Amino acid sequence: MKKKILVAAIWIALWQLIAAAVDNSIVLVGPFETIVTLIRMTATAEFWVSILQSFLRIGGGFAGGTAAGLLLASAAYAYVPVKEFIDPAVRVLKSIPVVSFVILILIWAGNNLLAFWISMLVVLPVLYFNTLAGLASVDPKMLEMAHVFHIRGLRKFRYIYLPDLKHSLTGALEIALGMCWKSGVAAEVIGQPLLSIGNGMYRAKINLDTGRLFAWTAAIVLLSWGFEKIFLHFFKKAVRS
Amino acid sequence: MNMLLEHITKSFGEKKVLTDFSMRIDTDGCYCLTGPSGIGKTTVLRLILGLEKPDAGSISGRPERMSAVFQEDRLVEELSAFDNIRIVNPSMKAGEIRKLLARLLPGEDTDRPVAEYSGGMKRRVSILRAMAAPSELITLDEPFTGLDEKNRAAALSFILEMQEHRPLVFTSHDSNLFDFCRNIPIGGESE
Repeated sequence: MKKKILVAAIWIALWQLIAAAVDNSIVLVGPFETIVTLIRMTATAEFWVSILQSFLRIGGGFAGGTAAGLLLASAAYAYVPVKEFIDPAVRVLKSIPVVSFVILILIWAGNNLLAFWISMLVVLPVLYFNTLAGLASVDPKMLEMAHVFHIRGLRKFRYIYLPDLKHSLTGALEIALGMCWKSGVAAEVIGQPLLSIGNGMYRAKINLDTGRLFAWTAAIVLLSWGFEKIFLHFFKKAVRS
Repeated sequence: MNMLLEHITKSFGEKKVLTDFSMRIDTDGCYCLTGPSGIGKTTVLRLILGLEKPDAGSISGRPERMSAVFQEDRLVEELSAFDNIRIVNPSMKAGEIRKLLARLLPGEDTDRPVAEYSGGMKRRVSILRAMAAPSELITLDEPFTGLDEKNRAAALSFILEMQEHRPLVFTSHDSNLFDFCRNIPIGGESE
């Protein structure tokens, strides 16, 4: 832990030194100015409303993508024809650039829920493929044991599937949590829904307010990190019990 | 109950494992399938459990609930011995499970995950699980593997005591079993 703090302190010091050397707040601001700007922003209602709206859109997209990925993977695992039907579609979904979806959703549904749909579309393939891989890795001998001993339903999921599935699910959720924030905010920057993090970043850019841009970025990093930690804490606790 | 396996033939690919094998399993019965390794003893148990289908012949009278000691332990490794028993018999009271555990694992901490157990301890848990599960027939595939003489005798006595009219079908090289069970040679004469 001490080592981590030391490494972080060295990087922050380097950042501050470079910012001082550049000495141009349009090109680069240092960590001190970023923190001061962020604190100033937190005093406004606009900041918190933007955070809340973006959080609901991106968090909602994450939840929707996770639920859809889990459901589709379960159906694909249970029924081979379903897998044969769904697999290519999810594979295509995974390969299509996010920006193509951003433009299509802007045309089809407007900008208000753009971040929700983009987060969902980014998260879904990650959850789908990892869940499917996790289900496929369950020991067939343990499935036979469950069959013989009439271990069914929730008990079968909890004791036979979950021990193998939880590792791939944890990995998938860690990846998906990072990806949903990156893609969700990028979608907001393009789509410009009012009172959103993306909109705040866009306005910082057009005003050449690099301090606000860095402050928004710091807010996203903190929000994404906090969301990931809290979500994974409860997820791990739930699969342990 | 009477379960009948009649004129069973079973092959895996090119390898014919059972040819015209027949066996009758009666309530209270105890049977020990014997024969050299690879002759098809485990296949017979899998046919009884419904995990394999015969290529020819018929199986009738298979009970609804069965339990098994598999060739491998097949325990939920992250659960304790106590919980491994509880998941196959959720209605069994905690005190009863503890009593059973004390029979084959006296003085052991049975609340630890079974992943931390020795091979012999895991084997005894899989025997306990099979005997504690609600069932009308029990198959036991080499149940005494990895047990020393003392634990082997304790396990056998426990199995016979817990039988409760349920037919037992063993595969084992333990000649002590022949005192209690009918010998069913596989690959030679069959009943």
